[in-house]
Amino acid sequence: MSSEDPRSPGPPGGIDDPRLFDAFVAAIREVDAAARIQSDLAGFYRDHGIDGDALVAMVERGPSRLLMYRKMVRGRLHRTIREFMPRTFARLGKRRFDADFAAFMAEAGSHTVLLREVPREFLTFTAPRWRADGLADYLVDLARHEIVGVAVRNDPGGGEAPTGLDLALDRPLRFDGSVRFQRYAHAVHRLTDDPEDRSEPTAEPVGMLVYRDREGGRARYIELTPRASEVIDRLLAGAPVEAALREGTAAAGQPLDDDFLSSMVHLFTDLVERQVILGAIPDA
Amino acid sequence: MDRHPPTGIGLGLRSDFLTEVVRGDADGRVAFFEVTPENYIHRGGRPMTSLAQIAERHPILAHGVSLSLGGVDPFDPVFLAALRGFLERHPGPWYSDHLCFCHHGAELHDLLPLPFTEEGVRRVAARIREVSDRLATPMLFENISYYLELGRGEMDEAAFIAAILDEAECGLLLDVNNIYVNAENHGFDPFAWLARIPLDKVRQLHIAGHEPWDETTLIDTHGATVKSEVYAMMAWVIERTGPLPVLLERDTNIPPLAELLDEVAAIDRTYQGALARWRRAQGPAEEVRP
Repeated sequence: MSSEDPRSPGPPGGIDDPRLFDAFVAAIREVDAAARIQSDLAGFYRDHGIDGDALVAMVERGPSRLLMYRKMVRGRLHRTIREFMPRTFARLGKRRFDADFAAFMAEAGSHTVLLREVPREFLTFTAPRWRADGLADYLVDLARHEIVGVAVRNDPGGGEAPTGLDLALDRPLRFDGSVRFQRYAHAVHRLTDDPEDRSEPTAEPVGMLVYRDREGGRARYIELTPRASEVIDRLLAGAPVEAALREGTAAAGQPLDDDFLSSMVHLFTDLVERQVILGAIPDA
Repeated sequence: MDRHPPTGIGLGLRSDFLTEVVRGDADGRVAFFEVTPENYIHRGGRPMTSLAQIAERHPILAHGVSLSLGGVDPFDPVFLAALRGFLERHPGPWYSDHLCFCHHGAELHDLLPLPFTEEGVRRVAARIREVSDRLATPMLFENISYYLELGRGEMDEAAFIAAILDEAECGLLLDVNNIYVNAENHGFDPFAWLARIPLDKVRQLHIAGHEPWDETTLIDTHGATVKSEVYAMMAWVIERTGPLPVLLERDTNIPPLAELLDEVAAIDRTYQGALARWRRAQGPAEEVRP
């Protein structure tokens, strides 16, 4: 490390050496640290670069309170993730969840100061593992569905004023800032809230518009048809209405017929009433 | 609120009773609310609306959990910017966080202990001065409950704190429950510890309940009512400092707001008694002529 590095250590075995922090954090994060600390505390510290008087002092203090920190930190994060995705946790099973959590702590860890963001970090890390290990296909969808409600309820956006412009075919639309559009490969939104429920969702493409209602601050979910999903997806990406309708129906492999146009008018009207669509975007 | 600190007994604002506080159930019963900015930054929706409504009716003090004042990793500029924005929206007399590290390569989301060393004093004092500049607000740091000291200390915790206060040009948020927990866990006299702290640097107190972790260790859970020994420590400080903001923390096993307000009132009775003794010790009040 260069002398500019704020983490550069002092003298070897120094009393305020960053290796003390390294070892302490390793005791919390590493998968097998608990067993090693129990069986060979001095070896654990030595393996993490602690020596000299610091090593003597840390060994004198024993393993129990080091393990207490491990349990406290991991317990808080484990509990937070579990509480945000209780049905995913129940279906995954404690053993598998614990293994994924251990890998998350050791290999990725959290990089946000916001505790409520940790479940999203965990899912980002673990979703590829679930897919690679051939776990039930719908688990990632279910976890995404469980945590999107929290994200929408807390989104910094939302509650913006209407633009004052009527919807027009040649203009894009402004949506409430809390809106999320989610695609699932399984109808996880139709599963019951019962954590004991083990019924499997049907495999079908789902488009789900999620937004925060202005009165109660709750997350609201609107299931869209495949054709409407393609249109809304494009509108959220900033396409003008006409282009979104044309390209969306083409992408769905369905015609842009009168029935569909009529249903989209009803959908737009509904979304305006819910203050999900705030009007056409004015010229810059 | 303005930048004059409130005094008296306040309560940590928690989502469990936001609705009741917005409704006015705590009006006239707390001196202030303390909020954790991490619960409100990068966030919208109902909690933000509620906080805005509460801030119109009650003084707000901001107290964080994530700065990692004792850490060795650089501060996160994105977090600091968000924090500064929060403090601009909710200006107060100071911002406080803990004498600990909570980030080291990753966020640990907990208050982790520091080595009590000269080098640590210099590092922490420099970081407190830096963060005070970057947040454009005076800083307090809070003594934590530590269950394991890192490395071979060159001094004890009280000397470590006094040295940082001397070097960092900041104030102290004195958590008397943490002192009690540490005294029990590490075997020292909490009042002797208090006597070594420069009380003129104390700007705020925290008071909370603790619980046993096992047969030999207490843990600062903020999950129980405040013990009588901790009341006594609060009174000892107030008798010597005079009026200060004192914050009741409750983070787990949170009872209904009415019970917490009763506990605030009980703490206030002890506080007022201590304050009366402090006033007597100041001597007879001088007549004030118009």
